[in-house]
Amino acid sequence: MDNPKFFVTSIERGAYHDGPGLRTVVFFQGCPLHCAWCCNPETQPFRPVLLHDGRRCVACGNCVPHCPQQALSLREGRLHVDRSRCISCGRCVPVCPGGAYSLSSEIMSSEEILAVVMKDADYYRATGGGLTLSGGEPFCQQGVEVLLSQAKQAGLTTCVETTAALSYKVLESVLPYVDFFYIDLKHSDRDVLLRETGADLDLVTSNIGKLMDDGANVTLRTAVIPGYNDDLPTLRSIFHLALALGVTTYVLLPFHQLGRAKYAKLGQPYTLEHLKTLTPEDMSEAAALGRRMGLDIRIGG
Amino acid sequence: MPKFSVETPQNVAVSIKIPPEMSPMDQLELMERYTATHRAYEGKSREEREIACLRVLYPALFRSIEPDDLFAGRLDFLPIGFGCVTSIGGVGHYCVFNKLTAFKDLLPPDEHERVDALYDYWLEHDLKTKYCRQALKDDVVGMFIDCEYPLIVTARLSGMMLNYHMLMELGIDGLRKRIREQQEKLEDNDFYRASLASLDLFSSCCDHLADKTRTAMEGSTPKRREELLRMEAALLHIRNDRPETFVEALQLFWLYALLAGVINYGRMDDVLGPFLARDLRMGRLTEDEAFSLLQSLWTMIENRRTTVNGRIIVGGRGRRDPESADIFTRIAMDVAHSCRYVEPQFTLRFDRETPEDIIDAALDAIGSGATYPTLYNDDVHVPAVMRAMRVDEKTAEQYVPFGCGEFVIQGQSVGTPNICINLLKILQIALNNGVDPMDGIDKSDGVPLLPAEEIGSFDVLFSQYKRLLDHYFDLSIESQLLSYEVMNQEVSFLFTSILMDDCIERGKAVLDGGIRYLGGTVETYGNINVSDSLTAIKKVVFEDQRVTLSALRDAVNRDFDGNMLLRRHLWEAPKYGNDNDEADTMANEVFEFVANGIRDRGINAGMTYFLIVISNNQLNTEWGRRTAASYDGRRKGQFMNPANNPQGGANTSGPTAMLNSLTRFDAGLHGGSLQNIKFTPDFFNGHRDLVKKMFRVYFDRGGCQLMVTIVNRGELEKAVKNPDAYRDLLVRVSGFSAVFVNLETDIQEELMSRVLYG
Repeated sequence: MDNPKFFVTSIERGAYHDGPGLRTVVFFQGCPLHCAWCCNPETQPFRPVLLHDGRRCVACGNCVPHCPQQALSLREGRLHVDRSRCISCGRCVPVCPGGAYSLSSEIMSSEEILAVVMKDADYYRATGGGLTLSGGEPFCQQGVEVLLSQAKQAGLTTCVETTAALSYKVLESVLPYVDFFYIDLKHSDRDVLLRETGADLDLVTSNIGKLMDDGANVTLRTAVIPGYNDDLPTLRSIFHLALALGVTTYVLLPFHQLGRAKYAKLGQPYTLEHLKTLTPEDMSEAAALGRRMGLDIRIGG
Repeated sequence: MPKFSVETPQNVAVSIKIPPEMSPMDQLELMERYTATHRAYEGKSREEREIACLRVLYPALFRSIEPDDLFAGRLDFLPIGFGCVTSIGGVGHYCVFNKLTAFKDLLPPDEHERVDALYDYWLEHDLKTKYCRQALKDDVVGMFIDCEYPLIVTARLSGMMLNYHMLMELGIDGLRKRIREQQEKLEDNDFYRASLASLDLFSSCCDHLADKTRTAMEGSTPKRREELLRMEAALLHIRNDRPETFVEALQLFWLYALLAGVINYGRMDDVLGPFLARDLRMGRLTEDEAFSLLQSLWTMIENRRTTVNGRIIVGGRGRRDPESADIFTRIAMDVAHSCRYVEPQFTLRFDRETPEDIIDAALDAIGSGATYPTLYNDDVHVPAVMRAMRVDEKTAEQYVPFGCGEFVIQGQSVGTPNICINLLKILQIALNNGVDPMDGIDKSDGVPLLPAEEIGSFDVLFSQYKRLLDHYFDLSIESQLLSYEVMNQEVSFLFTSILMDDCIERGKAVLDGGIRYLGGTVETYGNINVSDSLTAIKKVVFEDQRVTLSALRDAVNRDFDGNMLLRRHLWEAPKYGNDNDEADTMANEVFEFVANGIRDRGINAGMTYFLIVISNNQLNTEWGRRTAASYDGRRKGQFMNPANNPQGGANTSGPTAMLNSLTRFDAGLHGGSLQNIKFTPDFFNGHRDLVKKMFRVYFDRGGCQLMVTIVNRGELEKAVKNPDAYRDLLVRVSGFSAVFVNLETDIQEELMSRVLYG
């Protein structure tokens, strides 16, 4: 498999929050977790999903006859998508005058991905940047090690944003090709983490420990979510965990509402509407705590 | 005779002018005296007439010295007078008719007849009106700024940047001496005599202003008295002698620039830096005093309110004493940072040798939201100017951008942009059998065109468009040359000519054969709308065959009414600004055709250069209002793309992709091209090191220029809702900066539509 194919949800060029330097971030489809605050919910399923933007839809009904699954219907002047019928074939996408439909991802080969990524080679060289894989969970992609090794061969630095909620064998296999691991440490309480995200804390921490033992460059990140992990005792406990694992590089990501519109496009309920957006200033107390404990803390990317 | 209204506003004016100090009755009397003098010199030489008229204006137009002025020279501008540009006053012996009409309201009704008499006289004598009568062509060639036409033209002598080195080295007496020597060497003529008379007028103005300093001294504080004494001494020194100190040099430069009527100043670090450095070294000035003097210069320039001019350029290759010049540059950088004026348009030329601290100071000023300095890359521009203007390296090193960003060679070339061309309108005309879909009028000017039904391939379409463009290029060169001819018949631009190489040597005024390099420029509009349109037509009509060309034409002419799906397909076709090879290649193909088409015509006509400039003010929006929907998905009446940038919102692939697209064009074929980019403070200031390196890569890849606006996400939208809270918010429109809330609604929309990075 020298040119594996992936479901890519988007490629962001000139990114500066996802690893050192200027980077190109490739977002993949599919994640084993289900965090309620996920700002890319369309990346959670392992297959492309249909997004329907109600703000662009004028309920003209053009799309209805094009759906082979009869998943689309007009009712009371509004367009309804029956998610139980939709197979994400995408036939509705090109016929919508307003551009209301899109599929969450398209298939791209590693060659095609790298062709885009390499357009910014000069910027990587100047800034120490490179390729960042994100998602979704990049390590759930078949062939990701090929993409990473090709990126290394092309002289790029590589960074992967991962949940680390997977077998260490996978992580071990990519060790030679990954310069920076950005790993989410979402909570220090085993039960809360499992309930809210589906992640196994022991698996995550054991993977982080093994990566450290194997000499990997690990940065831990915590999305700070009001009511979930934003109280100082919880953060202190998460920081303790990080220190116990031997990691000192730490990033706090203040909660934001930027993902909200995507839930509506997916026809899914969004449960965090009531939460306040946090600013970097809101993080100052937590950052100060972490620094006192010996962590090197950055806020926001 | 072509139809046109003499009352059409002649230029973009966002900044509101300071009203004249002179009373309306005094203004009226002065304009009558000017008019009587002009009339009395009918039949005399243009030089005699010009100097006689100038004597009416000066020193009468000088205003009082303001309490904060550290050197002298403020002028009133009246609706009738003499000038060389349209941003202040007018061109040659001018009457700005719409301003004269407005002026009438300031007078009691029984004086209106006097104004009417002036109006009637100038209908026959205003230079620009004379030009328009000859140059305009109904439905095809319009006047500045009449957006119904695909091509608009004017007569003006914009962007003159004088040889101030010569002024500093010789002083007024030295200039007199040089002229007299030439008078003896060559044959005496009206130009030499009038030039000498102009220098005498300069000296009289010094005396007049020295009197004003004495008036200003009455009741002044001891500190102010000292400043005014210094001012008086400088004026009395420079009336004849060459300057010794920075204050004298500044005063000499400023007063000369005012009398010449120029509104772009040029390489001030090169001209004034050595005086400043010497005064600092000798302890004649402190750094604080130098800062205050430059701040005073900034205020003087701002107060002229020319909207799109006021260029001060620092840095770059070819300066005589770079070390001293950089002392000026560093202080100027602080002044630009702290003033937050929309003018002067502070411009940094740089190359790989530029000291790091100057680059950092520039980025700091930009990061503070000053929009200045604009950045010009000498590593690209110097070799490019050599090719574009066909000059040697030493000459090319003296390139300077004026106005919205057109280049001239300081002290050596004329490069006035007297033509604007709407490339998008011409594409629409080419696809509509000669008819402009905006108003249904045939603007083909007789060029045979196939109807869309008979255009069977993309290549046939493209060549039809090129054929029509070629015709409009012919009209462009004719109109530019005619503007020089008409101006030269009427005036000599004496003060300008004296300080432009090689007028004194040849005994001829700038447009009479005196100027060393006769150039000119054409402002192009809608470049990217055209190339994106062509890319979209190629894909949607000829590759995907979603629609026939004639059906596309009809749907677009209806502004997509009932066919929004087609609009979406056009909008989703590859777009310039995304580092997309297809779209960028098309943009370059259009660029090369237009750039070469204009340039070749200039060379064939015997000019040193005639170049396109992709450097708009806000005309992309104003002309957009009168331009039909286009094949890139742009709606009817919507703004066109700004300068060399994508249509707002089309560039969705991040800053590096956008920067890569910007570098696709050969800078050796144009006379200035503007690149705007918007960043959040979080990115620009919070990750300065990355931004600096990113810019470095862009410039190394051939990026010629960059202008940066810094705003927070949502800030422009908030400013629209609550303008009073955002009086300090500056934006780079394109070839000028503005207080955002002072802009018209659709111009604000155009700015908001631009992608914000970070």
